[in-house]
Amino acid sequence: MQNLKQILANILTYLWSGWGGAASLFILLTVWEYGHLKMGSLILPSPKESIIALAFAIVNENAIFDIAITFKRAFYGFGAAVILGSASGIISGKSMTMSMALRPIVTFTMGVPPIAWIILALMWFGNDDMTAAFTVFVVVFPIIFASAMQGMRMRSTELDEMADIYKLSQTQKFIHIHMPQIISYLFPAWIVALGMSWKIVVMAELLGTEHGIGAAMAMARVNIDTAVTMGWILMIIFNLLLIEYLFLEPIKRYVERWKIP
Amino acid sequence: MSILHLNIDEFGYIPIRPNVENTNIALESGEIIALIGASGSGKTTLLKLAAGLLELDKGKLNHNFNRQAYLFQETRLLPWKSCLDNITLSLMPTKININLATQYAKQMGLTEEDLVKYPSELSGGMRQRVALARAFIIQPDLLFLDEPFSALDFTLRAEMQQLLLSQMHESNMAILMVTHDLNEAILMADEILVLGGDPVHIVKSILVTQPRNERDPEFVFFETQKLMQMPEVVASFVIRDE
Repeated sequence: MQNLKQILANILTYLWSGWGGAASLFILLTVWEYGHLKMGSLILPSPKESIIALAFAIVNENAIFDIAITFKRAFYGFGAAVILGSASGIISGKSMTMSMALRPIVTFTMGVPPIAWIILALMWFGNDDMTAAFTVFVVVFPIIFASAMQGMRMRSTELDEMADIYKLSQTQKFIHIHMPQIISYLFPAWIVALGMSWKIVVMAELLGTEHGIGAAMAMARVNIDTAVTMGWILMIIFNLLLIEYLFLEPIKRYVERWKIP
Repeated sequence: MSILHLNIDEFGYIPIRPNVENTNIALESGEIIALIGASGSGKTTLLKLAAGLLELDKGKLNHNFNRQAYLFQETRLLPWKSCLDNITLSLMPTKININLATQYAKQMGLTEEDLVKYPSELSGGMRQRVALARAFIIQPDLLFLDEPFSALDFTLRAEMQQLLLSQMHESNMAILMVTHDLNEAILMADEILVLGGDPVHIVKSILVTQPRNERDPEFVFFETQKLMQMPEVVASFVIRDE
């Protein structure tokens, strides 16, 4: 009971701290509104117009479906990259040889521009969910992989010695000794990767699919509808904020609660 | 049969240049052997070889223990675990009852409040007690000590030494310890091995036959003086010219 109270109190404190962030965002909105007053609705529609345009699209044009499909694609690509990238990075971080051998390949794949991957994916998979998901995966995977590998390589040999003395099994060592060290490297990489996933999935949709936020934005471009475009941008950012601050950040705070701020 | 028998023909961090050679250490149950020597004379290396943390190039290591524990120069606690979880970490691979943890912690002078804290919230001495509890809770029959108390102040160090000796008295464990504190060596050890030379080897072995409970401060003082006048000890503590 005491625990539950404590957890609830922590959640409320955390949500309350969101006002600081909200205040900065409102400043941004003010600047936007000012820009709108100076330049007019065609160049820069007001925040209100943008939100109304998006709401209209959601109510009348089934835009929820577009959001869902984009979400699905980003989730597949990002999820696969998180699972495979973290696991393979940790495994290769265990061996010096593997890390040395894979480093140039990581650099190489990170050097290929995302737009090039989109074009390749379009030729390989066509107008499919796979195109967007694959592009997200292939761009984000090396980032997560490199961080996981680095985290594993940088682990404390002193703590490993201690674990060996007390004869901890490989699994026990991994869960109790390695994982808490690796997570400090993995979390920032996951957050960066999440942001990139959203941007890339929209870009891929804009170029090559019929549905999704990107496709809807391509449509808005054809109609020269700036308000809807701005509405969609708001939607993307809003989703990103939601995932980062309501999902990833609380997890991070929980696993790193031993670090005194 | 010895609980630990270490026979080093040769060991080097870099293959061509040996750091340790021709060293033979045999440790019996209930016995304490102290390794002394200047900083950088290879004491820690020898201890790690004996514990199997480093692999011998040429030589033999025979172990005959049920459970070993090692107190490092640093506490090596996990900063992300509470003190209680740090203590019970060593129990994970064993079948010893976790509930013993609080009892051991109390013996080491830790309160229940201390146990829920993270190591970073405790003082250095308290952290060392947690490491001590982690080592003792598995009831080791072989213990390695690598100057774990060197960072503590004089009174705390004396208290820790007494804690260690009382534990040892109860369980008849064998201890291989490294120290640069000659007082500590005289107070605790049955045999003192002086390390020196390059590559390192044992230059002298000194037996302390007085029963441990009869080693009063006066005895320790005079024996330490005697030790400090031995030419091998003097030579081993002189800083080597490169």
